[in-house]
Amino acid sequence: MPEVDFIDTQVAREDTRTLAEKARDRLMLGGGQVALFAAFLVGIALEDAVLVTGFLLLVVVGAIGWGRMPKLNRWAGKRLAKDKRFAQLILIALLAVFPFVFLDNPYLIHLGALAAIFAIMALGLNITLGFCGLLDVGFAVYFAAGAYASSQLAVIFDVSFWIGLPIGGLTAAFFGFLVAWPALRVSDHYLALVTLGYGLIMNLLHRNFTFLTHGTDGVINIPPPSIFGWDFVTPIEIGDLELPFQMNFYFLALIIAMLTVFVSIRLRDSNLGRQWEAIREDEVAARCFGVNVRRLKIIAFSTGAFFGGIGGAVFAHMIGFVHPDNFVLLTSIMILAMVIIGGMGNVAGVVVGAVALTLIPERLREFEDLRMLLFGGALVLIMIYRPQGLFPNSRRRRELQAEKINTLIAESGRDDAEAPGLPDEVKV
Amino acid sequence: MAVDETAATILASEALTKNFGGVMAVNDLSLEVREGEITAIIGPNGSGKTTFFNLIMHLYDATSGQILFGGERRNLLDLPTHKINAQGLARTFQTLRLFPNLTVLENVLVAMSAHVNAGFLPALIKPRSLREQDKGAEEKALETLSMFGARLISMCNEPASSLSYANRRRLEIARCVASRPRLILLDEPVAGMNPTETRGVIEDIQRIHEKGHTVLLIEHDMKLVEGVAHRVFAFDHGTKIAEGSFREVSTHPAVIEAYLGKRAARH
Repeated sequence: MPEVDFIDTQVAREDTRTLAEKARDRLMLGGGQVALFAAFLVGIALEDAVLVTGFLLLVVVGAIGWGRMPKLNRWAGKRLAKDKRFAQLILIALLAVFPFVFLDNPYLIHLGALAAIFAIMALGLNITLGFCGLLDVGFAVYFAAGAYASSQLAVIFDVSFWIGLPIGGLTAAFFGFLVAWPALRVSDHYLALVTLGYGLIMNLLHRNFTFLTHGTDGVINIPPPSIFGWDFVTPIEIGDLELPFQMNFYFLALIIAMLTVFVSIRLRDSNLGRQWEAIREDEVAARCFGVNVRRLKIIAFSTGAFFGGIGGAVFAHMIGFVHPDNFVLLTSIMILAMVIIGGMGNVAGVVVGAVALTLIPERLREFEDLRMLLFGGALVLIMIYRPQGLFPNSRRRRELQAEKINTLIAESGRDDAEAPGLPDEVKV
Repeated sequence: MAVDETAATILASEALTKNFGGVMAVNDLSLEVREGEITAIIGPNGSGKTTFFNLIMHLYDATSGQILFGGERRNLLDLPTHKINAQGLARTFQTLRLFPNLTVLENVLVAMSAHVNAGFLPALIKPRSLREQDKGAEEKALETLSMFGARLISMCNEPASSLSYANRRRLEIARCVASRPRLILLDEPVAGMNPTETRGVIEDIQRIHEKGHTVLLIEHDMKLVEGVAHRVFAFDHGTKIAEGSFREVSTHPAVIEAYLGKRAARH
């Protein structure tokens, strides 16, 4: 049995770079990140309708061009894999710098916070849909549950945001648990219809259960979160510099979003996540190999809903006002689109999808009535040219030891050449 | 190969009946699979072979009758599907049912760990003990994959959908073996394979058997059945029409009639 050299493509290689090479690689990587981020900043700062359109076209052309160059893609992928930690640090740093760039334009910081909130919710749906494959078209239900629960607790009972936040999440998880029961009986398109109906019914209840939601008057005067008497609408002052209060919400949402990313990744890489994915891939086979499909689907619905509720709670306390119009079918579809366009199951992709789909419609406001038309058209184009989403869910390579594998193959004592003369031996 | 009547029964079907509306897919089926043997089920299309497998895994509810497994004779029809694997049963599927977007290694890992309740908190905290457990599982999974030489192991980090057809069938078998069952059910393991690949599968089945697994398989390929089976059941119209060694069954008039019609059986 010869050494199997094609194993090499399967295993993680050790880092053998010298210090100078490492520094060069990291400089390139960081530079690339900063350049991309700068382009992003320019994009969201544009006001003029023509410029916005031009910028979006440029992004689309760039993305298509990038997709056409698999060699460059793989090269960049390898670079990124080598310095993953470093790239993460740079990214966090850039996100922290973001609001300081727009000190004179708090609206953009507000948009950043909104994007982070939608990222939290999209990551929630990604657990239900991306990991477990359950198509939930009523995600606004959980958004609403979290928003109403935490805001009403604060308004009526004067409960602190920090307690209202987890309660909002748990309330939403309960609503996910509720729909899981009927949803277990159906799958695919039928599941979509069940959750669609759920979303519509719940939105009617938001309008009509006035004793809980104040109906179409909405919940008003929701107090902002506060820590030790300092509340989030008071701007922080450093010397003469007054930082806009939107920044407080931005960092709050950003930190929760990063925690959600962490939880998503941990769940995905765990036994639990693998069983979810098995259900998504083939439910019958999963059951035959011992996966408790019922239990795991309920967990998937509830966990996804939990993050929907967390997003809702932060949203309510940031905006200060909750209205049933926030939780209509369009909201559910937007969150669904974030997950699908970002790439179902791909955590980073979903975050990008959420940021893009929060910011682009805002930037298209210049077009007024044409806004949703353009936006819808863009979604159709993306689905035609990139049905798997911007960042398809590629398999994560495990780090395996080449020697271990080679010994195993040698020990198996099997030659890959087709076994000769076998039929004679097995004759009765 | 001789039929050994002294071996213990591992799986017994007793007066098992399943009808879909008016169709009797399985009709008053009684049979016993013996521990340590390779048993084959043959029969024309629609004779209830796969339905029998689906009943064993409790993918369908039986109309009547029971399926008893192991020395303790547990009725599998009392258990939900996901608890049957832990009893010591694993199956492959006639139409492949891998997890196509999971890697080859992950396909095996699912089968190894599914009956372990997947906890929420440990997944988030990832304690050292869990890390070591995961590493051990990974090594065991690789060992299982190495039963097919380099074929599967060299692809262990690639999605299962990238495997060739024959290798996908092998992965189905590896996935079964990884769950450490006492009885392995193979549903047409060589469907769609060429003669060379079929020979390879014959060898694989014998290796599984040598490792101590009892094998029950459905197969149309008589070369394979002749090559591996200690005992053969012939099915027709949802019931057993003959039992014995391959030679006995293949010359049994009822079997010839089922395959070729009455006239052929008379000659």
